[in-house]
Amino acid sequence: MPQAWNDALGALADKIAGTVSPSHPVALAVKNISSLDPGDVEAVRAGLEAKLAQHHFRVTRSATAETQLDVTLSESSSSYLWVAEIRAKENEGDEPEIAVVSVAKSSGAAGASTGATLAIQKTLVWQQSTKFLDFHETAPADGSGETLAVLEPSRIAIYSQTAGKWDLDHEAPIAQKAPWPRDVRGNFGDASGAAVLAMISGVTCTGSAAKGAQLACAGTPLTGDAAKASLIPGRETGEAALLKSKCGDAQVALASGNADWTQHDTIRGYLLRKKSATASGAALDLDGPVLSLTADGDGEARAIVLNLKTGNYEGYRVAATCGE
Amino acid sequence: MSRRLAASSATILFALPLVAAAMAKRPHYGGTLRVEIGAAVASLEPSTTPANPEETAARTEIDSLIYESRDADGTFSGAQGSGPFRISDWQPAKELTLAANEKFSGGRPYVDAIEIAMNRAAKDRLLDLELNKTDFAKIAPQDARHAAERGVRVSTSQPDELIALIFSAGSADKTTDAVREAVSAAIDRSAIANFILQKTGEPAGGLLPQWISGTEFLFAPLATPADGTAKAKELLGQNSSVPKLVLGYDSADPLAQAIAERIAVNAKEAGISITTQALPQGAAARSASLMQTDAVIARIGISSAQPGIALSNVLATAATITEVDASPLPSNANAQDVLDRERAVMKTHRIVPLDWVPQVYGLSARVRDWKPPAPGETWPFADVWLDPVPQASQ
Repeated sequence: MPQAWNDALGALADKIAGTVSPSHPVALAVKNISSLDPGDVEAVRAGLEAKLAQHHFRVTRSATAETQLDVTLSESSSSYLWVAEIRAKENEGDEPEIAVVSVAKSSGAAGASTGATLAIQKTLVWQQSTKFLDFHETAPADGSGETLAVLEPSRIAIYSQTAGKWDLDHEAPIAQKAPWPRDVRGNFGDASGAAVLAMISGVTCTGSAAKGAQLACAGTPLTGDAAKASLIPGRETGEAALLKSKCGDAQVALASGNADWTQHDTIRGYLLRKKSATASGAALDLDGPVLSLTADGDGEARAIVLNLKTGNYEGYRVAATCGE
Repeated sequence: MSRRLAASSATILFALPLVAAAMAKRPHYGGTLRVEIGAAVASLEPSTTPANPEETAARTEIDSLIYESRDADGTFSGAQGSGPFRISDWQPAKELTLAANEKFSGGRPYVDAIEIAMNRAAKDRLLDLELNKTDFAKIAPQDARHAAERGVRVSTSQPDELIALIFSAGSADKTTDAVREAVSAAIDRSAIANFILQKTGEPAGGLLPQWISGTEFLFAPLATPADGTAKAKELLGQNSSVPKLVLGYDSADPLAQAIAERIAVNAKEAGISITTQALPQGAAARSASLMQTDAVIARIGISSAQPGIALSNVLATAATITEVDASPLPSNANAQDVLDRERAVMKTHRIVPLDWVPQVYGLSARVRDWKPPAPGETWPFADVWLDPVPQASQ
């Protein structure tokens, strides 16, 4: 269970303990009206029972208990809300006491889909409310700690990890005279040492991402109207990436759906043989459009997704695994 | 920088071709977006005051297109034309043409221009959508179903406008808690949603919609109209005399009128006499009008998706009509703070939530990447593009 959930359940148990005495048994009923799946609901129930036990409550499912605790797992667009209605038998007829805690929705859980041949799995690496174009995780050989470089239209932000949490370490501005196109896109290119190459809407940006340094860009940005060739035969729309891996004799590729940027999207695996492309395995569902898909290491790609539920831009590592 | 970063040097060679791999999905630049609005905007000068709420709302939308930044108080700042568009032609109260700002810091908009025709009646806007004479127009929620049945492409926001019956401050002598609660119980909110709003709306129980607060389920109206009528009679049974109430509505708002008349019918079934009264346009919240009425039908737009801010603003609006604790919630208000305030206000029954309605927009087939604005946001025309080969449906 995520730590934030555990903390929220602790706070909810504290509020309940502040309302009723633990001297009598408590009948707990949990109702889910949120998008949490049954496994999560059971985890929340068990977590709450454990927290209540710490307050010396004896939890029962008997309707004759002195205190009825009806917990509803609800949600808003941005948070889960866990609402406890507390009814003491001695105050029957009165309005219940209500305790509520909220916990921000996290997209951190890994989603996976399996298929006959290709299984696609996504792992959330980074999310933020403002647009970003690409990201790169770094794990230096000297063990000095992981860093995460996030490419935005006007800067590269470097985050370092402390106790499992990314903190902004520094940023390197990107100098560009003309405004970027509205559909600005880009990705990291080569880098050796502190030198960085980024391609943003067809413009090459070079420089350093070290503290106090900046990147300079040269050229005229391209818009999305620029003509291009398709990577996957028969798929002229959507985002696509050719991976460096093979599945049997076929080259592996990933492609998004072809809806516009107001709709949910998918990433599906394809097997390329000669001039044909065959969809393989189940599609991976996403909460918003895939804005870019870039091949990474073997069998992996980086995807930037605009989550329509949260409004956040999200960066995922997407892995395609070849099965039998 | 890293092993992973270095490995991607080769990938960039084919990452670039991806830029245009998506010819249909990626935006297209060009074209003129045709927009029709009901308001007649007389001036775009910041020093002038709009004549009515409709003009105020339209000015906000236009300002968001021609100014680059918006202050915390909702006003726009900077130079006119610093936003994604600049004014290229302006005929007050008739037509406004905006041209794309090539130097906009957020990137040039996709469309070359926007033509905004003003003072277009709701029925004319609907007809022009049907005839493909316009690309974008707002539709009244009660007309959404009809529009869709006639082939108009309809876009609907989350429910973000509260229709409520609010007892006026001057009614305190006539309406006890029990009377107000009885009126609330007697109202058949589902009938309003199903018949008056033609299912483009949903019964409201709380002051914030479930999708914003996550706790509206706690205020769910009674299950059936019969339950509501019985509850109202039970509450009034303790009252020796039930006062006759006057319910006001905005004379320019046919939806408010229909709802007020429906409430009068519901109330009569519960033994409460309510007469309806049309109030001058935009006067529903003015104190002079409130002296003549015991309650009014109010339409309150939700201004933020943040529960604390949204509730504070709802209460501030309601406080112009009734006595209610409208002190702003602190910026760090948590879910419990918001719920506690909402429950305290709901217990007074001075604000009676009726139904939630969304904002409804009609779009032509060629409009792409349109997303209904969330509370507090404006029409995202800078992100909209026009498909040179429109899809039959989306």
